[in-house]
Amino acid sequence: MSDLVIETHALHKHYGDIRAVDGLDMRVPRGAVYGFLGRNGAGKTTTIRLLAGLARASGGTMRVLDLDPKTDSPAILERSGWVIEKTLIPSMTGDDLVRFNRGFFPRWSDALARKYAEVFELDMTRKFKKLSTGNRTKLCLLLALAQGAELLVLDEPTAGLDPVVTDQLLRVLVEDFANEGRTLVLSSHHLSEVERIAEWVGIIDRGKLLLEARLDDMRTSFRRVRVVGEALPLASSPEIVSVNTGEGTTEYVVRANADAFAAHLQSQGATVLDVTPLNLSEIFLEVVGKGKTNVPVEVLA
Amino acid sequence: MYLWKYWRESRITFAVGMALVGLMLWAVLNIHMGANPYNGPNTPQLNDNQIYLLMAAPLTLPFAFFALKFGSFGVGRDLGEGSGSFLFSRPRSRAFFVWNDWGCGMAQLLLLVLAANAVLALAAYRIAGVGGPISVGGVPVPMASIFALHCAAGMLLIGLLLGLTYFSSVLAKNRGVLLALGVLLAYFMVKAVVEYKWRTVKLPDLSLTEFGMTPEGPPGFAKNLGLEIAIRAAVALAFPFAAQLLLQQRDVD
Repeated sequence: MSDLVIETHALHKHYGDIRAVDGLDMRVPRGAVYGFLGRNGAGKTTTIRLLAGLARASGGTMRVLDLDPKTDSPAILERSGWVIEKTLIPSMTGDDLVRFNRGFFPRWSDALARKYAEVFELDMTRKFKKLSTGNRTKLCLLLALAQGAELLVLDEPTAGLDPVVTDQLLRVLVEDFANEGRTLVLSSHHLSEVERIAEWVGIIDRGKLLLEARLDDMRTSFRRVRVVGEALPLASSPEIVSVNTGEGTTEYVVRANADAFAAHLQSQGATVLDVTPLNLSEIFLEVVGKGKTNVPVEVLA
Repeated sequence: MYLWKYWRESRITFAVGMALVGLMLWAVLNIHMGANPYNGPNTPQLNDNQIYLLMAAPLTLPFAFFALKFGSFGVGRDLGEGSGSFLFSRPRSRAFFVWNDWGCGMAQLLLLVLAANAVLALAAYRIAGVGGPISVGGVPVPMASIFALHCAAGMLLIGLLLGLTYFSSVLAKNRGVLLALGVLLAYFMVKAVVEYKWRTVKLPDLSLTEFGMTPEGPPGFAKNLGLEIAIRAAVALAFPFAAQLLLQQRDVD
């Protein structure tokens, strides 16, 4: 059994000229809580649809639970839960959907379904089409959680949820799911939520994985270095993620070896004002949001 | 469990169909069968040809309606409603969904066809007063054979229309029924034009009814009946197969 629950290599998905997924190499360790981050249209949902067998790849390979989604999709789906589009069968009530779903999954738990209906304060007698957006999302999550899956993949699970329910959901995901050694993949652009529970983070932009690492490693490696000086290097090192100059100071964001980098600048006559850590949001913006499209993928751990 | 979903979607239509059959049965049992003024006293109320027509003609349109309706249920409807991703992330193959939909639809339609034809056979029996052979094209044909033929014709017709609508619903989602109707209309127009221009050419009829009523009469249909049924059954089955292939090749929205 592989240590990786999800593994893709050079995965491509093209829609005509549009490269929705463009050579994606992704590795999700078994038992991890993995935050899959990207802007709108970055390729997160398309990647998840490929992994779930809902879309056909244009190229590359992928493995989910040691199986190939192209050929073994039902076997993968039996052991995993997916919340992608939050549209269930409109004419069914929550109870109907539980009844419908139960027959598909050998490890289905009615007790869990009842529990999450209470936790999420869901009216299970209402038809899906009559539920609010937030309650629709909650029902989708309930069905996925009650499957007893060993891998849960949630695409933007907190979209439309209020802060209280978001908090409940994140706690449920960590306490009831991830703490049992199961794998959780969470696609989102709500960075604070991911930062709260994720151990691993993958950042995707324009169909490419720009960064994949343990969150703790990212926090300890990424640094902002502010310096004052003449004739400073612009982007000569692969460790430099971005360089911003203005008002007499230059700001570098480096992905590793910040102290050595600062020492190097000092040796060139620069004055280092400070070296500060970055939070996930800042790292994300540096990697994705400032137009650096060719940052090489690097697993820091 | 998946069959339950299809049943949930289709049960009202099925109940309406069965209610119509019940209404037909009530009419057959209660409407007075008076003397036919056109046939004169002491003659059967309907002649054999009229009995044959009674057993065949009235059901074509209702069958077509129900087949189109049943074809619009299942996967095509889910794709149209945006729940395709949910459905196809259940651990079953695409073929499983297609053939369960098709089988459940055909089973309900089979019950409708059998019930409706049984009622019409009962009507014919009451009018004719006998269950024995009637003359079709001058040849005596047992009522049971006519019943069986019309059940087969009904099933092939609904099989064709169910499959066509199912395929077109997978292809065009909410516009599937319209697409199927368009295809049918186009076929009727092409058939009419071709048969008008080239009198010797005869394109296949959608049901077996016309074939059974050819001037050659029963010996004609007896000769080619098996082949006719096989070809129509193959065409009817081609549509769910095509729907399966389409679903297997296509990305789910």
